[in-house]
Amino acid sequence: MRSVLRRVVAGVAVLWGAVTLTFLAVALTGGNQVDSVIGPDAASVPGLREQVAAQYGLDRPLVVQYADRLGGLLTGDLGRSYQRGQSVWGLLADQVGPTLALAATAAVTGVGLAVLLAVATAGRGRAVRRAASALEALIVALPPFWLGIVLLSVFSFGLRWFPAFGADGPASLVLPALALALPIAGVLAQVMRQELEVAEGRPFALSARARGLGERQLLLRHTLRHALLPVTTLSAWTVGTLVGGAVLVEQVFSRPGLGRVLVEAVKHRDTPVVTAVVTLAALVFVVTSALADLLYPVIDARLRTEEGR
Amino acid sequence: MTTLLVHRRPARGAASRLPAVVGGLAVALIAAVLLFPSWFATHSPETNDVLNAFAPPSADHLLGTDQLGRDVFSRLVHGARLSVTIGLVATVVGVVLGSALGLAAAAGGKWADVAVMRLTDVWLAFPEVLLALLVIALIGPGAANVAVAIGVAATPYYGRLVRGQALAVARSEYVEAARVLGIGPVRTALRHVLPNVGGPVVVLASLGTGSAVVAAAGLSLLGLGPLPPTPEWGAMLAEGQSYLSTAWWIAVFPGAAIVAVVLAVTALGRAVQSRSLR
Amino acid sequence: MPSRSRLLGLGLTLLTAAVVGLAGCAAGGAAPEQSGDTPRRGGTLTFGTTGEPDSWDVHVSVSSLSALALRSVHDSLVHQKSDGTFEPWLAKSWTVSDDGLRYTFQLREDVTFSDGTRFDAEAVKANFDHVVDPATKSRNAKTIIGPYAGTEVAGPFTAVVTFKSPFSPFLSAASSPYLGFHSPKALAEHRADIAAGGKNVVGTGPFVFTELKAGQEAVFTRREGYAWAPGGGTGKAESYLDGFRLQFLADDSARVGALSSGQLDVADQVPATRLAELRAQGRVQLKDRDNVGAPFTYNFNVTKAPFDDKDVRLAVQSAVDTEAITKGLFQGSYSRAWSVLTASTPGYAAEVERTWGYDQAKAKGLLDKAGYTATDPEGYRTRDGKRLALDLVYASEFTSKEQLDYHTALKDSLKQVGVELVLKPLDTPSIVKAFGTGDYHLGAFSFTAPDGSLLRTAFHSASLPADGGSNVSRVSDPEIDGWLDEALRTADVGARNALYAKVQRKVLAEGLVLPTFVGKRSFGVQPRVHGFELDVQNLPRLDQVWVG
Repeated sequence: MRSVLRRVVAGVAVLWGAVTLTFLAVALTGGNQVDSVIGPDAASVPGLREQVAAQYGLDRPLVVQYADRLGGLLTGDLGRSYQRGQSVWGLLADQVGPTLALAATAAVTGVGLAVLLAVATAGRGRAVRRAASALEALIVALPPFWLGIVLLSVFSFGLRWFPAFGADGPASLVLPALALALPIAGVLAQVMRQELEVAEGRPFALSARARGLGERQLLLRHTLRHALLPVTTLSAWTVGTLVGGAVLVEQVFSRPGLGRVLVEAVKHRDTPVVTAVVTLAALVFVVTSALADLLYPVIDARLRTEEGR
Repeated sequence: MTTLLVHRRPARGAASRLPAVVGGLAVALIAAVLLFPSWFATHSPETNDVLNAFAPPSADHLLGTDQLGRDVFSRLVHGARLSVTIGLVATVVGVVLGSALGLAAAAGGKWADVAVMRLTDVWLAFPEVLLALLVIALIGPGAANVAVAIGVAATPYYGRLVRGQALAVARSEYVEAARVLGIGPVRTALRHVLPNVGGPVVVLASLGTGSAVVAAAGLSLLGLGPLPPTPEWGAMLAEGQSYLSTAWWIAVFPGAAIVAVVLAVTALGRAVQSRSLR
Repeated sequence: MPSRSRLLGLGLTLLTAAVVGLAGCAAGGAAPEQSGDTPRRGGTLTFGTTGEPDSWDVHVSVSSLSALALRSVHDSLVHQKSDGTFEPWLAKSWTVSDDGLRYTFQLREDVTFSDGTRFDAEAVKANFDHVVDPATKSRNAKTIIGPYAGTEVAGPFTAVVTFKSPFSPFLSAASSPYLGFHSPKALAEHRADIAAGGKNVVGTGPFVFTELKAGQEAVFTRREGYAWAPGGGTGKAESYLDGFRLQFLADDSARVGALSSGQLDVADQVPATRLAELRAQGRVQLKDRDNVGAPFTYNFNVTKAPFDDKDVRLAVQSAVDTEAITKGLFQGSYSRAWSVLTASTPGYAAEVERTWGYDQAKAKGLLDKAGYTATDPEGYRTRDGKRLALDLVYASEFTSKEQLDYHTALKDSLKQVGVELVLKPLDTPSIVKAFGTGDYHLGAFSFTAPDGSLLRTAFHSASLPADGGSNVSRVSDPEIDGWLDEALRTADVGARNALYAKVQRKVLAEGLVLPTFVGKRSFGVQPRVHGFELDVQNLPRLDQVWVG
C-alpha cells in the first residue's frame, strides 16, 4: 500500500513539474504573447497592450499568474485561447474522444501484432528469426505519417476499402490505427522475442517440458506471460509514441482530434492551447507509467512463483 | 527515439557484420550526396519545367517530376542536405544540452544530481513530438527552429546517459587520483570524465539522428519547416500528398528516402554499439 | 479600437479574398438537371468543404465559406437571375430614386424567421444598421453596402435604404448572402454569439442551422413552412432534403478521396489537377464555372523602389509565361487571365487580350535600361552593388497550395531574367501590418465581385489597404480615379463598362499588375444527387437539391 502511495505522490510531483516547466518556458520566451493577440497595432494604439494584457490577466506578477494557473488546473480550468477567445477546455472537449479512440485502437493492434509476430518466430530457425528481425527493423524505421500516406493511397484511393477521412465508425479507424500501430509492433516484437527466448531456456520451461506439456501449450501458458512483461515496461514509451504519432497521423488522414487542434494552435502561437494539450499528454504519460510500475511487480511475482514450482 | 529502446545483445559471428558493412556504405553514400549533391543530381532542383509537370518516372526523370515539372530525383538529392542536416543539428543540440546537464549532475554533488534527475523525469513526461511543437509555438517555425525544437526534446535522453556514464567514470580510480592531486571538479569533468563518456553517447547519437530526421520531416509535413521552393523531404511529402492518386511518386519517394536514411544510420549505430559492448 | 478593427478587417478581406475568390455572378449558368425522375422528398446530403469560415455571422465574415453554408439560412431582398437581372425575393418590388440615393423596397408580408419573429421593415433596418455598426467589425458586408446612410421605416413593410452618394452596385450587393437577414430577436438578445454559429444563427431561409461541431461539421435541417423561394410559381417551396451536413475537410486529397469513395455526396473545391482525372473516371458529376471577379493577380507596389520604376514593373510583367505555367500547373483545367477582371465578369475588356504577355528578351532589355546591368555571383542582377530583389508577401494561413505553387513558378521565372523574388509568408497580424504600411513589393489575390465595380476597390487612390480597400498596387492616378468616380454616377451599363475598360487598359500598360489564371469554382457531385446547380454567385441552391 505504501508503494502505491509513493508512486502516486511521485506522479503528482512530475505533473506539477510539467506544469511549472511549461509555465516557465512560456514566461521566459513569450514576451510577445500579448502582441500576438492584438495584431499589428500593438505599438500604435496607446494603452491597448495594457488593456489586452489585463483582459488575459497577463499584467499580474508572474507568481500570481502561476498560482492562478495551478489553481485553474485543479478546478479543470485550462485558460482561454488567444486565437479564438473561447475556453481551452471548450475547444478540446470534443476532440479528446476521436484521439483517444485512435490511440487505444492503435495500442491494442500494436500489442496484438507484436505478440503474433514474436510467438510465431521465437525459437524458430535462424533464417526465420533473421527474416523477422529484418522485417521488424524495417517497420520500426517507417514513419507513421508516411505509412499513413502509403496506406491511404493503396487502400483508400486505390482499392476503396476504407474511408479516407473523418472519425465516423470503426472503418475510419482502420488505416490510421494501422499506421500508428505497425512501428510500435515492430519494437515490441523485437523485445518480446528476446524475452521469450530467454524464458525458453529457463528451468521452469525444462521442467514443464519434462511434465509433458506440448510446445504450443508451453508457449501460451507460460512464456507468453513473460512476453507481456516488456509491454508493461514499455507502456509509457508506447503512450508517448502514440500521442506524438497521432498528431501527424490525424493530419494525414484529416481526422478530427487533439492533434489537429494542437497544430493549428502552434501555427497561431496560441500558447494556452499548446500548453494545455502538452500538459494533458504529460498527464496521460504519468498515469500510464504509474500503472505500469504498479503492475510490473504483480506480474513479475506471479511469474516467479510459477517458475518456482 | 524509437531506436533507443531496443537494446540488443551484441550479435555474434560474421553474419552480424553484413548490416554494419551495408549501413556503413549507405551512410558514406548519404554523406557524399550531402556534400556534393551536384555529382548526383541530373537536373536543377528548383528550375521549373511546367509543360512537363507530373511526368511519371522515366529514363530522363528517374523518379518523375512534380507539379512544377521539377525533377523529383534531383530534389531528393538536394533535399538530403537540409533534411539530414536538420537531424544532425538537432542531435548536436541534444548532445550538447544533455552533456551539460549530465555532467552538472555528476560533478555538482548530491543536490545537483537530484535536481537534474527530477528535471529529466519531468522532461521525459512530454512526448517528444509534442514537446518539439511546444518549443516551435514559443520560438516560431523554420528549419533552424525545428532543429532546436527536436534537440530540446531529445535532451533528457542524452542527459541521463551522460550522467550515468560520468558517475561510473567518476567512481573509477583515476578520477579519484585526480581528486587527491587537487585538480578541480570542472577540470576533472572536462579532461577526464568527458572523453570516457564519449563512446556510448556516439552510439546513442547515431541512433538518435535517425529519429531526428524522421521528426524533422514530420514537423515540416505539418508546415513548420523550411519554405518553398527549398527542397526538403518533409515539405516534398506534404506537397505530394495532394497528388497521391494521380502522381504517387511525388510523395512516396521522399518518404522512402527518409526510411533509407533511418535504416542506414540505425544499422551503423547498432554495429558501433555491438562493437563497443564486446 | 476602431483603427485596429478596421485594419484587421481590411487585411482579412484581402487575405480571404485571396483564397476564396469564389462567389460572383456569371452570365448564363448550366441548364437544370434533366433526369426524368420526379423530385423526391427526404434524405440528407453530405457536403464536404474546405473549412470553417472566419465567422458564422454573414455580416462579419469575408470568407466565401460562410456564404456557401449560410446561403441556405439567410434570404436576400432580391435575387439575381442567371442573365444578371434581378427578381423579387424578400422584397416584392423596389424603386430607385432619380438621384440614385434612395432605394425603396416593398417587402413580402408573409415571411417569418425560424424563431417565429416577423420579417418586416424594422428587421431590414436592424440588420443593415448592424452591418455598419463599428462594433460588428464587419469585414465584407460593410464594404459591399457602400456609402450607406441609413434605413427609413416608411411603413411596416416599406423600407427605404438611403446612401450618402449614388451607389449603382447596391442591388447586386443586396442579393448576396452577406447582406442576408438575422432575426431581430437574435440581434437584440445575443448578437455577439451569432459569430459562434449553430443555433445562434437565425434566418428566414429554407434551412435551419441546428448544430455546429467545431472543426468537424455543421448540421442544417429543413425549415418547415418555408414558402418564399425566389422565382416562385414552381409550386415547390420547402426543401426536398431533410437537411445537409457540411463537413470541414481542409485537405484536398482527403476531400476528393472521400468523394470518389462515396463518403461525400458533394465535394467543394476540387483541385484543378484532379478535375481531368475525375472527369475521365466519369463516376461523379462535375459542376464547375469560372470565377467571377478578379483572376489571381500579382499587384506591384509602385511606392516601393525599385517598383517606382515603370521599366522594372513591365519587365516583371513580361518575364512570366503565365500561359505555360497555368497550363502545366493546372493540367489545362484553368485558363490564363488577360485582364484584372475574368472574362466572364460584366465589364471585362476583351480588347486587352494579346496586348501584353511573355517576352523574356523584352524583360531583359527593360532591366538593362533600368540600369540593372551587373550580375552577382548567384546570377542576380545588381545596380550600384545592390541586388534586384523583390519581396512577395502572403498570408501563410490563407494561401492555397495552388497559389503557393504559382508563387514558386513566379520565383523561377524571375530568376531566369536575374530578378530575385523573396517569398515572405507572414502570419495574419504581420501581413495586415505589411499592407497597412506598404512594406512589400508584391501582393497577390483573386477577388470575387459581381462586376467591374471591384476596380474601384482595387485601384482607386481612396482604396488603400489602410482605408479598407484593396489597392495593393498603392496607385494614385487622377485619371484612374476620375474614371472610377464617374462610373459610380453612371447608371447606363454600357457607358459604365467603357469606363471600366479604360481602367483595365491603363493598369496593364502602367505595369501595375500581372494577372495570371482564372480559377474555377468546382464541385464534384455524386450521381444520386439531382438538381445541384450553382446560382449566379456560384453558390449551390440546396433547397432545390434532392437525392435519389
